[in-house]
Amino acid sequence: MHGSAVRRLLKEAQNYQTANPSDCAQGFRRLAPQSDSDLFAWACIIDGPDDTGYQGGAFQVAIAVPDTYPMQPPTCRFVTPICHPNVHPKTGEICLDILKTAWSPAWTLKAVCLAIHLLLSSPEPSSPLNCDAAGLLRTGDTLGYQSLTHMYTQLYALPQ
Amino acid sequence: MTARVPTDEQIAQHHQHVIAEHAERQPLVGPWQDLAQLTNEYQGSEAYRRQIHSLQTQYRALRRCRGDGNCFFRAFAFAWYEAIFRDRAKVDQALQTLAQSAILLEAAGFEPLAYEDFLETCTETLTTLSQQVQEGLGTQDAQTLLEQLLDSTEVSNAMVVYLRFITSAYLRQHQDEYLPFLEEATDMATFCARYVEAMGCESDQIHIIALTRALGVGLRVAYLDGSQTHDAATIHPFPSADEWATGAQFASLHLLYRPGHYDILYRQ
Repeated sequence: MHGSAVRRLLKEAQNYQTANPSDCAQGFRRLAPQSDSDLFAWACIIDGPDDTGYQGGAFQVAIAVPDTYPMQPPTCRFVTPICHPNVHPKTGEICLDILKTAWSPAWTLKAVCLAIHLLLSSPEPSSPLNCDAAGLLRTGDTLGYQSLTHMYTQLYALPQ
Repeated sequence: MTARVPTDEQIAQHHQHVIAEHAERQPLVGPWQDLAQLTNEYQGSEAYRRQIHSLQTQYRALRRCRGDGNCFFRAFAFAWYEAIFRDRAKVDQALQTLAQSAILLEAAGFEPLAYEDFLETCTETLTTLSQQVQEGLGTQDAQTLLEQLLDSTEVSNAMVVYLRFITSAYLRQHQDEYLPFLEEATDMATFCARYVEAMGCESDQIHIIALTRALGVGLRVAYLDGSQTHDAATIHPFPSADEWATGAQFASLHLLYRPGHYDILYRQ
């Protein structure tokens, strides 16, 4: 399947490169392969959604694409430290159903980025990788959750 | 102390691994076999043997497909192209159907980027087969070429994905009609993403009805279930008996269903 994955990724890379900048105002930027030499290692910047503790933050996400893509989903992780119930605080691993058991080959890397952006404003505290953040949400402490996520954003995710 | 319970993801991974390991020992689409060979598998079961015997009055052979959850779509893809590729008019009609399917997909919200490679593989494969036949490739060589192309992972999987997309698009476009039949999900988009588009997800009647309607291809499925009460295997027409009665233009395909698995059948 290697050949068809390469063909597809080249198309996606070209497509995102030539996309109208206003197309990109959807919560993420700079979706592209990390280098010219490896088409299977991508990255993008997820913008923190307004009215959340992530607002103003720019979060780098690394996307590892398998050679069976798009039959199998890419593996994504946050490189920028982030405090979120569904992101592992040490590894940056993301718990999102469409990246695991509910993947459809009809999705693109762009759709993956949109889903990660959406996850920031719609956390799922019932399947946590970060129990502290999930605990605050589950006990209804939205103020505590807001300030904790905001603090992490200020510490690690402000654009340089 | 709580016991270490595997996560859903670990269970799903293990499940996939077991299936993949077992499946890889089988070709995607196997060689033509006399139907009598099937009886060897059911030495201990009289009920199955009686049903196979009854099938032999109508069918002479089968072709096994890999049991990886994609067998319905894989069997359908092979049987469909095998039924039409020698006939120029049928090929042209199928190419037109494929071209129109892109309109259906786009209307259902699929991104061209996500489907055009798969569509291209389906179209190119059929065009190549048809051209070789037009240029005088012998019957046996043409058959070998068909088998080679459709047993290759790249072509076969691309066809499976594209047929899944067509099925999904058709269900999304006709959701009022099909929503009441869903057991696994409450909305069509979720059902389609998880149970139609996802590779390795097994097919139910709803998939078969949608695909045969979307393509205008008739299908008969012989059910071999070892039933004690029916000596004869039941044969179900798809999309429906009525459409079979009126659809004289159908390319008609024949599949064998055993609980959890589909293979291709050949008539006497």
